Amino acid sequence: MSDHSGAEPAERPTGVPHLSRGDFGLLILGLISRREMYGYEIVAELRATTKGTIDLPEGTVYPALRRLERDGMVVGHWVEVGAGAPRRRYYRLTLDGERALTEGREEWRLFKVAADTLLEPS
Amino acid sequence: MTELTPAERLRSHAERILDRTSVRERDREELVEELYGHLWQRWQDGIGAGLSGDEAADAAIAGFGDADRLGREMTSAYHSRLYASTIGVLLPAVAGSSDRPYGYGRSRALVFLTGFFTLVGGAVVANAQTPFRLLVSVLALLLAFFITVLAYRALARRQRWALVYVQVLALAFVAGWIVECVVQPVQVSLLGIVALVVLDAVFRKDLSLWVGSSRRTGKLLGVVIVVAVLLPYVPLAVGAVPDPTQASPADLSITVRADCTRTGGAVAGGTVTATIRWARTDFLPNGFRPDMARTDLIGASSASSLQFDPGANGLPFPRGLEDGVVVTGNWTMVDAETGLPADAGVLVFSGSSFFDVGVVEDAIDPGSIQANRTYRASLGFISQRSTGLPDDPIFRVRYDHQGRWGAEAFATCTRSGVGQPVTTPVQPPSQFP
Repeated sequence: MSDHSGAEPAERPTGVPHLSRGDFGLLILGLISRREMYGYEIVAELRATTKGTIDLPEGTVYPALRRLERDGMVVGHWVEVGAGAPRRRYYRLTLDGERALTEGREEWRLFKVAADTLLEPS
Repeated sequence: MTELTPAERLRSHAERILDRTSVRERDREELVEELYGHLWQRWQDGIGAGLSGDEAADAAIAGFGDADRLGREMTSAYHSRLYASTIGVLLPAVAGSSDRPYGYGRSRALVFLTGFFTLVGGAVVANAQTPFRLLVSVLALLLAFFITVLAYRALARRQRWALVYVQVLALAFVAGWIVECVVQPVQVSLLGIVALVVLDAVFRKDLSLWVGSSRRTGKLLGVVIVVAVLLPYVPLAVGAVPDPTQASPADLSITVRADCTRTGGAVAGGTVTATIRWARTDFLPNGFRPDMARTDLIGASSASSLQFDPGANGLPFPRGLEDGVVVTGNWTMVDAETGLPADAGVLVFSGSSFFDVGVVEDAIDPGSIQANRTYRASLGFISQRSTGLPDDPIFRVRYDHQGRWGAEAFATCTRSGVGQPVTTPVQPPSQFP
């Protein structure tokens, strides 16, 4: 898979296939493409959407977000929450991010088809 | 020792992660705030789930991941930002990046500078080209600039063609600089210097590995890349291409005749007349800016001119005051029907004084010439020598079209002459035709 920039997951739960930096970045792009999200929300959404299959150390998402931001795939902005809560940094996709996501999806689809073909019981 | 509150412990953990990084202070403050916000919300969720404050803080910290590893990841994510600094554009980043290879910053700097100078060159060319050549030049420069923008971005996306482009650029600039230095020693070329610095890096394995997963560059793309590198030189080469919007030697006819008076068989004086007619004149003869004629990159000449040149190239015509020959009247090109001058109001005498019979040149305003009208210029001459002039003196009339092309015609007292194209700058003929 191509490298879309992300953090190497620091630790991975037993039984979860290895997730590369690029794949992790792609997953984040996929989530943010639905709506603007902040780090905590991304982690929670990732966990909920995959029904816990992808359950990474929560801090892992921040280096990945910084890489995506550095590469112009996402852009972050602060939002005040109020009531004594720390403000949140929301991220949204850029045009480059949308393009990378489209390319990444296609690459992933091809990879999945190939892998399914190989792993199909004979 | 004072016990930390859960919130203080969370902030302290966020700071501990960042202590293991080398991010800039401004980035650090924002990151601490962002990480703390995450831990704080996890802590709140833990309390909501019935944990005590300390238990919820422990759970938040444990779930966040190993601080050392997160610190390293964060450092890796930040380091290549150094390239964005001003110095980083021109020079390699001071600190290495864990994921950007050696030479990456230099390569992009070369592409950046190439794009910049392509635009600057385009602005200069736009001032000094004839319309068709200007169009070709601007299109070539815009395309060249567009390619530099693509390459600049493509290199960041690890595309192999961009690296090949940088390699060809570096080689071309270094080669060009060497040639410049040979032609005129001690030339300083900014692009040449940057290319020299880049040259070492772009052929090392680091950058090749960096783009290793991208598509290979085929022969066709290789040719396209070479052409792209050469595009900024189009304005220099386009001068060799005829501009269909401009008049050519085939559009001009000049005839010259000399009407001589004789005394006792010797030529005592007379009048030389040049008749000029253009079938077609230049489109936008003064360019898009009025001073194009004076800044034309293609030709060195400042304007068109009509020259009266008796006794050219050592041909038999006395020159100099001691020969006692003077010219009379003004060598000015006028409309044959209206008598209105078509010159730029500038007469240039190359003789030592008005009375010398030297080269008399009339500067012509290209904008005042119209197609299919007849123009004339004439000049009288008188010999004050008792012996008169040689039997058949030779007169040359030369037209120079802004240094781009020319025509010349020869006449004697017994024979009229018709203009023939000559290369410019106009050189004296080796002999009478």
